[in-house]
Amino acid sequence: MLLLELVANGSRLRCYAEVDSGADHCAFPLSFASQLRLDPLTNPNVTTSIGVGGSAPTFYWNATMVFGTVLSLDAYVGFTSGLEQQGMGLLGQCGFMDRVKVLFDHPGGVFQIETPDPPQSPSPSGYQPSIL
Amino acid sequence: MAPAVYDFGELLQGVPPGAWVAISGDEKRVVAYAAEMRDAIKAANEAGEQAPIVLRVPLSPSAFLL
Repeated sequence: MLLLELVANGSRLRCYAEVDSGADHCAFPLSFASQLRLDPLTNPNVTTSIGVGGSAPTFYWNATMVFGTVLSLDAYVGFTSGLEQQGMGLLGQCGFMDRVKVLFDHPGGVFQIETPDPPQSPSPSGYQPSIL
Repeated sequence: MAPAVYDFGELLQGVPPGAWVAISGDEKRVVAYAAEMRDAIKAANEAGEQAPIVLRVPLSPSAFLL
């Protein structure tokens, strides 16, 4: 679980997110969008599979995920009611794992993220995540 | 360097299940909590914490299968 600052629409929100290699893209609870003054009523949604057997409407906006002074990633991020109970985000393949190297070493008790050097430019803004 | 591992169990002790929690920037103190996230943030702001970290206490102790 990583601490990050989610930045969009001139607003900021500090929160936590889990690295989830099984997630196609990055997603956060829908209430985070409201806190960032992003209005779901102005944005179409797609139905996204969440977890095992569940699904929920997901709204997408461009946002920046800031990880302290180490890393800043611009990405097309989903906001979904399917993560309301978790209260934290998911850092998935598009937007996170396609930008960094991640090593899970459970026996060693180490979770390592290697950032690019020099930092990579943001993903193309026209990216649309697949609908599951 | 040892990995930074935090156990929120002690920090969140006494916070009702399902509550949104605003914690201090140093991750050591619960500043406010409420049923709605915006209310927790508002209370934290009023308590002087301008950029709290928000998270939610699970309704029950369980693992995530995402």
